[in-house]
Amino acid sequence: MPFQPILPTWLAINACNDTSASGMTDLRTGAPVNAGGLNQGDYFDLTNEEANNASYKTNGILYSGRYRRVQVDSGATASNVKTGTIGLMPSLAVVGVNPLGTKNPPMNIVTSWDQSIGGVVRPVVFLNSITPGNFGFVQELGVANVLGKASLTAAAPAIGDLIIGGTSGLVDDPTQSTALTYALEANIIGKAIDLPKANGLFRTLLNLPTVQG
Amino acid sequence: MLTKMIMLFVKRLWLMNFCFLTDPLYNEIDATNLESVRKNVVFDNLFVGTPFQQKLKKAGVLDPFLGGSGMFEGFIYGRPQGQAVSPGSTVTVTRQQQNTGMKFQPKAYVSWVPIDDWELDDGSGTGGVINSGPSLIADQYQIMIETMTLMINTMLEMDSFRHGQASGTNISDNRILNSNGLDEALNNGVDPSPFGNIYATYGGNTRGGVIGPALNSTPLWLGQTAAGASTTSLATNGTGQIDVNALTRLWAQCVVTGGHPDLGITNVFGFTAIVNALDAQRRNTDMKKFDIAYEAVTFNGMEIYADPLAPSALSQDFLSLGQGGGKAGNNNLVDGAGSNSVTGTITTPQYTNAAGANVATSPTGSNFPSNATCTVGEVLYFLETGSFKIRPTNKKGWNFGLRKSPMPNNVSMDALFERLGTNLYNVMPRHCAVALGFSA
Repeated sequence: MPFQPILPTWLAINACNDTSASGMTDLRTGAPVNAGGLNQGDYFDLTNEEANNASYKTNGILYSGRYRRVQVDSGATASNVKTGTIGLMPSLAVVGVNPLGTKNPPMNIVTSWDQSIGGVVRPVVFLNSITPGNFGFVQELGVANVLGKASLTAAAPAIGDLIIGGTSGLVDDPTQSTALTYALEANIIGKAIDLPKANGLFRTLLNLPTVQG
Repeated sequence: MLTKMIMLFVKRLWLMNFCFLTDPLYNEIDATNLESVRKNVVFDNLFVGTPFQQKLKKAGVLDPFLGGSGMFEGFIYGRPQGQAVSPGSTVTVTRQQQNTGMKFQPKAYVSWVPIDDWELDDGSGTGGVINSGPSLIADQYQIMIETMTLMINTMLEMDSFRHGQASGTNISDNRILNSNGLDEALNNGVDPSPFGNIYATYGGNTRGGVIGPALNSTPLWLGQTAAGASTTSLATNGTGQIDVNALTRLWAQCVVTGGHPDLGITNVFGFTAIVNALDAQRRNTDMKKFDIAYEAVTFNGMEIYADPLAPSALSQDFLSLGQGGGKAGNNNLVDGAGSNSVTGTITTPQYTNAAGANVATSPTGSNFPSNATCTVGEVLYFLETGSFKIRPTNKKGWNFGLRKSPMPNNVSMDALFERLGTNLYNVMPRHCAVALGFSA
């Protein structure tokens, strides 16, 4: 699915939890209504002002970045899919075999941290609670609100600290002087823009791979 | 165990994206009856009227912008020399500059929606697979066109009460893309405006400099007047009450400069305070329909209209003006900068007299105290409609014109823009005045 700068979101970007990719479902049959122009995999870039205007304040204010329409895999742990947690690529078991006989790694289906394909592959930030199996938007680039774990590792969290993902999709501010290992590097989400906060949301400039598809 | 099984079953239904289907799908009632529908009727439960713009247009202030590097407005600020003389005497004949000009830029206002011509027809008659035919209740394309127009009018109306300058000294917000509204027009470069800014310039001219007070309009503060000791030790002042004395004073500030104020604009809640003030003096408060859509009361020959989008502290409790548009992200009314016309508190500077000494009250006659945080509350404008200009372009594409931009590799999506190039400004601010600091 290409970059899509012309699309509806129907609700604020961080308020969507839809039973169809298009955001519309037939009231009688429950089947998706494929109209309006919103599709799974649509991704788009917003400025700060555009993101602010498309925010549901109850779920946090959005900032400049890249947002994507995805499905949350039906096997995700619902309690780990909420504002500021990190989602990952699910197991390839959730996708069908392509005509060439392999399975395409899904860029537009994400799951909770604990149900990932293994390791920290394709991290995204959840913007709001999305029922497993439903559709919504995630953030994959830019400035995102991430949710800190109950007790941050760093003794003195600071703006600019490298932030890593961890258990349940919560983020941590690790001890910044710790020698970098491959395992630690794999968990890097971005750099803190606000003072990292335990048990709370704070803004982070994401440092995640861009993906296509 | 049974409960767990039921829960698992329900969860499974959700995961399969099924709602609770009935078997058979339709009962006899639903299989044989449509819902009662009044076609092509959609009630507007978001937007409100824009009486300020409408009254100005009715007064004939529309002056189409035909093109050019900006909108020039010449004005006189100085006089030639003259005096009573003894016949036969000689004088040295000198001359100073007497006139110059203001300059304003056209401002671009745009509202947009995506159009999926699978869903709806864009007026061409070639699309709208779904939103068409005898089953159509309302034309979604028409709804979007009308709401885009309402959006532009709402932005313009709210911007009419704000400013169009860049942020800078004593101007906290950058609104360079917005029209040059009343907040900057009705100022004197000394006292704060209803939104807390002090505008040293208007139309590019420095107030109080070579042109003197030519472009000044002094705000009238009606709230409490306690002064603070310094800029770091501020007093706190609440709102006051408006009365006929205040109304007459505001009228006088317009008239003493040769103005003929004929239009009053205030929020609906400021309007209630004014009606109460007039009623206390047994003035006529019969709100007859001076206009087909809007109510007004009269005062000294002026018609004072209640504008729901005019600045107010109270209106946000009843009208969706707050920042953030709810779960949909769009059910709040905003101006062209994504802001609104809700008033808050403003801070006054340390005033000085002509000798440069600190004084407790503004030397301009505004009644503002020095070094104070003041609650603005409601705001009232007395205006001379003839001193305003509304300058929409005469180019059709930018005079509520549409631009449809197809996404080149998308099978059905276009971006639809409705656009307006315009500005609204005042060429004789001294003929108008603003009062602030009263409660409803």
